[in-house]
Amino acid sequence: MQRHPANLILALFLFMVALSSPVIALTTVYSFRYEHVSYQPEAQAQQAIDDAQSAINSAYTDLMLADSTGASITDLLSSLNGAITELNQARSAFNTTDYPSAITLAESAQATADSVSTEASARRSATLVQQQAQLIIIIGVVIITVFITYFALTRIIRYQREKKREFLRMEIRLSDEEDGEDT
Amino acid sequence: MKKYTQTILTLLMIGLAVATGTLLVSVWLLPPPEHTAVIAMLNEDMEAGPYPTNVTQYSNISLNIEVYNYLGVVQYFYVRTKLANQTTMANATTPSSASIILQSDRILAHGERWVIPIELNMTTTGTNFRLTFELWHYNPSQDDIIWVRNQRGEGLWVHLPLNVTGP
Repeated sequence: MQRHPANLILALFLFMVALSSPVIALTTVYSFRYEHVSYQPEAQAQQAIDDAQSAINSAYTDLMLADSTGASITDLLSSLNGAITELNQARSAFNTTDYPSAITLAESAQATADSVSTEASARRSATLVQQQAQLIIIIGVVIITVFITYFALTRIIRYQREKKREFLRMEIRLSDEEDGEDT
Repeated sequence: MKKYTQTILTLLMIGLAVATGTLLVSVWLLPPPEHTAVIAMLNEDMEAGPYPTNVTQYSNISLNIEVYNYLGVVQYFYVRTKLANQTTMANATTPSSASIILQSDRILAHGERWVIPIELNMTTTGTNFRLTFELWHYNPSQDDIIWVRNQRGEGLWVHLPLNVTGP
């Protein structure tokens, strides 16, 4: 059996393609990462800082709403100020081109702000429910007090009226007896 | 019996009227609490003067800026430091047009005090500088940082007149 040179060339070509395809695939993947992820740390850090600032602004809004309802926010305020400090450190790291540190700090600030936001909303809801319950109790107490006062006053006045009637009857009886003695 | 019921109801009505009147008088006649913020400048010893108004180039300026929140609710404050001159200085209605050289931010509860230590190294020389500190705050409804104004509508700021001479 004699091998045709064309078949040999074809086989060699296919072998080369098979050998180079993983290399092509890997190169494509790495070039994509170069363009979009790993090799643009400055843009990634800037995005992380912007996201953290938005999260802090949002958490502050939730904190303000919780504060206006009278919820306790002292610990949340401290946490959010900690997030602001971290974000400022992230900005400092960004300015010194330390982008990995900037990303880490900004992401930590964002996580803290998100948790403050969630907790502030929960405390606001709980305080509103508590205030509604207190309002219902106050209204109930007022209504019951008015009823009790009304009931007590009517009984007292009725009692005094009966006593007065009884006194008048006694006076009439006494005057009748005096009239009998005179006659 | 009807007469006594009317008496009781009249007494209850009088009591209610007195209570409502007392409440309304306390709301209308008593002065409302003033909602404002305060920014003040102190020297490095935390005293209101003397201030370093004449300094040499590359020397450090140490100051403290004090902020109080009396706006009734929690506030997200920014203190913006600007090196202005006579043409870019702030006035009651307009903040300084000079660029920001330093910015500090913090959230304060109602009644809380914030002290910001300021350390600046003056690299430029000149006279009649105004080292200006403006109080800004984040406004959620506008999603923007705006200048804090008092009840007369005047912006809150303090400044240090400054002359920087060569070494």
